[in-house]
Amino acid sequence: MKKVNKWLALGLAGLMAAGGLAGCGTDKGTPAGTSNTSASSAKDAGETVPLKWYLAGSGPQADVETVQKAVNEYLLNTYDMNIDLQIIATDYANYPQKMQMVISSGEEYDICWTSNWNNNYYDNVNKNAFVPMDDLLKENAPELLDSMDTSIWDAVKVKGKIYGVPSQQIFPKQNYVVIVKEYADKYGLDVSKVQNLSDLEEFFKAVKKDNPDMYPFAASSNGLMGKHNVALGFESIVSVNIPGAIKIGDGDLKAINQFETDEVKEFYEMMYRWTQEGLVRKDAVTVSDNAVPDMKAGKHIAAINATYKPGVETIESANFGDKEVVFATLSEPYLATENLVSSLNAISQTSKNPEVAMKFLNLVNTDKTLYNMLCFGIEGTHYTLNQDGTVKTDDAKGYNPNVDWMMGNQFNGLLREGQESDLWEKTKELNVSAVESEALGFAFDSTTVTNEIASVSAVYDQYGKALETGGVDPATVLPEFQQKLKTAGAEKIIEEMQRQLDEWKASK
Amino acid sequence: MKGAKKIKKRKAMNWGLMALAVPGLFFLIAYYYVPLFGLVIPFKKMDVAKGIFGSDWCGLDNFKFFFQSPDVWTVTRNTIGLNALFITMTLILSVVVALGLFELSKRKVKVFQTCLFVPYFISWVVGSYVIYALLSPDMGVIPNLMEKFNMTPPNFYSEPKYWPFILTTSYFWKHVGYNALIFYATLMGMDISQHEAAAIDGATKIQRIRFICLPHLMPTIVLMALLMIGKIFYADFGMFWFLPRNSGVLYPVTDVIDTYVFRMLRVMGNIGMSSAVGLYQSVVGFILVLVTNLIVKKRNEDYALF
Repeated sequence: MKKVNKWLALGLAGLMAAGGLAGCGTDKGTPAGTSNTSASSAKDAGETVPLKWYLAGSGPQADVETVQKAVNEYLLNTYDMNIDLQIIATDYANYPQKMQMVISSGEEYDICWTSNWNNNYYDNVNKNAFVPMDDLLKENAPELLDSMDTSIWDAVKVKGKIYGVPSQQIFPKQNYVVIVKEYADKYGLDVSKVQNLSDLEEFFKAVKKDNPDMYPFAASSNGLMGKHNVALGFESIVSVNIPGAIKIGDGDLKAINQFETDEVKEFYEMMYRWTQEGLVRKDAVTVSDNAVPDMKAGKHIAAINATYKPGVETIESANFGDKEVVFATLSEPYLATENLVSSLNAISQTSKNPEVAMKFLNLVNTDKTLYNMLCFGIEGTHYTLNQDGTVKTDDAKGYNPNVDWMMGNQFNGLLREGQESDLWEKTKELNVSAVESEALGFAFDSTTVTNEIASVSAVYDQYGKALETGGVDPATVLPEFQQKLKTAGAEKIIEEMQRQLDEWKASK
Repeated sequence: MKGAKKIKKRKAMNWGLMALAVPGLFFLIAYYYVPLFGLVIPFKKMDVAKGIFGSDWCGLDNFKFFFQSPDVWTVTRNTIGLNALFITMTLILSVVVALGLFELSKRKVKVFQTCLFVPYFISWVVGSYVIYALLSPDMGVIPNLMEKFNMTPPNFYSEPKYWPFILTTSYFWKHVGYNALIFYATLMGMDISQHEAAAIDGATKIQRIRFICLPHLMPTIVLMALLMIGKIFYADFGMFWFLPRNSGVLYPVTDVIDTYVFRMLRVMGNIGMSSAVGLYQSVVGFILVLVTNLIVKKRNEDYALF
């Protein structure tokens, strides 16, 4: 009996030790776990090269392994490229945190998706997380390099070097408002006459009057500024939340503090009025899910968004629970540097095989078969093709990441059910016809003002979101916000922006 | 022969005890000593390609942004102020509750004990939804009740002035039961004959509490206070993060160093700057514990921790 107890104690101790070890493993063990996988560092086509790709989206796909295998086979058979692809998808909300951990811990991976709004491209470049790819592109991906205009490549340059491959898609930003058709019809709203968001005030009031439980206009803590800045008449230099903007159409390229403009002030005042009248949720600032569940549930009947594009009807209709929707654009299509940095794939400093990663990105962006395999999975297994050649996806089949625009050149993609056959032509047209910013191609180097940017983002966090969602009265809070921004160094940031803008303009 | 066996036996037993201690030691080393190397991060300009130790030193650059911003004062004040409020009030309330329990019969104590203890096991995530259900401007119980009585309910999530009260109440709800139980246990260990003697001498209940119970509780109160102060800087992150639902307007009264560091790392992704604030947090915490211990030591050496 005693012996049994002793063994039991030992066993328990062992278990606890194992638990401790496992805990330690997740704590900081990633480098140890991955170091052996590519210790062989195989570069010749004979040996398999592991390729790890981090993506955001709606989260991991159940049947990703089948797709990975199919991609490996396809690449081996068609291009004699022997890779072992591993796709790691994380949902949007957690992706930035996940990538911060991956990057800070020095984990070995090859490619990651980055942008100026999620997993910030500039921050990561400043941290030296990505490899400069100018030479890599020339040597390993000439087709990819040729597939895009030099102006696009210039726009993603930081300190003169390219650090990411932009995914070709809709580029210009054209702010719009979407309204559930049923209500627009019922209350006699003529969307063709809507030019500003404020034009909808009477309509919202009428809806609210008959439906006291409803909050017609959707707002959430994700903020409205990023979805409305073109309509307000400015393009941001670093991000809409950081002071520093250029007025649209300003040929002199004067950097201004957008939070001190009348347009933004009026917007805040309107939002405050709307919350007071019940047109917007009073606690919108605490809503962290982009308000989509409430839109689906019919609590909201209108929302604004950043980029109007051909085919957006399908997406917005789904957001509103498959109800028919109507649109009104609130600005001209406008192309600025920020719009070109909205979806990129970068190669990690920790990658053992950057050449292979580059070759892979080249193929993803130029080979239609490979691209569609990544976007939709395998025909018959994960999706079916309709008569007209459009794709019918099915979430239940285990692979429908729905992030085509994240992976690569969207113009190589098959069309989804319900999308019109000339979708890509129309999109390309829009890309060309958009009003180009005078500062297109200018990218701000924030290294000298890192401290100030950190401070102003903390200030924005405290005031900006609450003002945008109408939670607080701008009459008292806006001056305080502006003052705090100044203390935090907004003026120094804007001075530095102006200096770099002038330099850039002179060199052009 | 017999003696040798005894020694052998003892050795075997020690070995077993050692084995039991290994996981604990391992835990301590892995989580408390190994991460100490991370203390270099605040002084480095993190460069992912070069790694933590390979990155360039940058002196105190990472501390600049925090000490330049007005936040340094706000978050330090909130951390110390709110916690001081929590600690003193919780200790007082817990002692009162414990004294109350002491006067109750054993069976009744069981009921109270369970009711008081349950909140301690409820996570702040759940707690935050309870609070939200009470305070949410549209559906919340309190705003709706206020409307029934023809009052205009405030928008709790955008008015900071209510939050010190809300946070303190929530803290009581969670911690008073737990602490009261510890004090109650201490009271149970008291020599009952002192009470009997005092009663015979004509001491009133209040006098008995004042002169017998409280002195008996004092070492435990001091110990609990010291433990709580030591934990100020890493306790209850959940409460400060989840309860105000990260509403920016409330930062002036709800933002503590912990949440600030977390937000910095999340929003900025700058590991150097967030570690710098983290280091500041540890230093202030360390000083607080030392000072408190010193004060206690001055008053009564036996009560001090070290």
